Amino acid sequence: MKIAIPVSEKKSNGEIDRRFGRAPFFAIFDAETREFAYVENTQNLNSAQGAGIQSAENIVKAGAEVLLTSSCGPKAFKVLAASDVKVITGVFGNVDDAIKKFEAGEYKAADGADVEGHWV
Amino acid sequence: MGLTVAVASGKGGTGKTTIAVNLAQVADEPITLIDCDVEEPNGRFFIRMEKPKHLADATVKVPSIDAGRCISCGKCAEFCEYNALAMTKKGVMLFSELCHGCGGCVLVCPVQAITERDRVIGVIEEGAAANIDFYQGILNVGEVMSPPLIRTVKNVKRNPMTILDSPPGTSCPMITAVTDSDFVVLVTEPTPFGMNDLVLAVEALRAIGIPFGVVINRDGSGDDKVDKYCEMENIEILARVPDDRRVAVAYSKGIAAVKLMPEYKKLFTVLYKKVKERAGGAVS
Repeated sequence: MKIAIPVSEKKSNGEIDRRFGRAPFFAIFDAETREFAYVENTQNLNSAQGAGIQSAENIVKAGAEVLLTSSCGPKAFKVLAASDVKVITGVFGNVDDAIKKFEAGEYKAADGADVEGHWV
Repeated sequence: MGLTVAVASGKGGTGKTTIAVNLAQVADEPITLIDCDVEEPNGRFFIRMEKPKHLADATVKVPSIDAGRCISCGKCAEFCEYNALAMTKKGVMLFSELCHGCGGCVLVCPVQAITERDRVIGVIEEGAAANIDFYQGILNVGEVMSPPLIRTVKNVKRNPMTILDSPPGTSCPMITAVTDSDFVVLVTEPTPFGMNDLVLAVEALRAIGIPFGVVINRDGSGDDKVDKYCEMENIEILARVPDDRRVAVAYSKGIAAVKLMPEYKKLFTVLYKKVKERAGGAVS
């Protein structure tokens, strides 16, 4: 199982980027091999809306089944839900800690977006 | 071809609607008055008439995806600049409110699974009073793209003289409203905010090449920076509407100043003649 986490730098044990839609990278943690890969969260910067949609697509493309994130908007949530990606919101701080907590079963999957859609 | 005068301003709340409805009501000829401020149309409140009636729906094109034909190749989602299409494990997902209706997805689909359908984003209403044929566009709540609706409401049958009430600002809605006008009346107020946004509006109109002049509303309530700017930039000040409590009181009751006070009837008659002349029309 692969776990996606928004990060601002490609480094181990970093911090979770609180901007899901505009995070520069997603750390993709493989729970079996215990290894990290990083995918660029490529965005069309000309578009004022839809960053979350693109981020969600990038996560689906990376093959992740779980997303650990600070927040997730309604459109991104729809895309993720349709792709059977489990979304866990309200996750802050250190990436490794978040993975530990997730694996210890401390998080509950969100049943919807936790923030409103927004411009830029 | 008739003449069109658009009333616009960089800053909201400077008095576009006040100027537009007074101009329309002071004219001694048939006027088409179009309220293009589709997110907040309020021109109708200042003209005595029956409630405007539904004339037409305004629509935009959005893709309609045949799930049976779709091979989930993702080409349409990749093409869409506005993220209106997203690839999911269950196929393509459409966010129609983000669609700009360009039709590109239809072209890039290799299996012709996408067709276009109309999506209603608002309505066009019409009303009539004395010399005025009135039209307004009303954008549905939750819609974010007003230009298609503005284009639709502008596309009505016109009298030889049309007055357009533009949305505020200098972005797409304002540009869509004033484009094709013969002359623009830029309404401002003599305040730092009015001044800042006037400069933006002047730059926008110069870029698209439409002649314009300035009306200073609530004249005397601020400083003389707008005057100095207009002088320096060689911009004509078409009229000054004084900072007069009686105008505000009339406004609050939905009455145009020209219907109440002879001095305003005179002021706006002079202004009407001037803008018609600037727009290229012969003045009787």
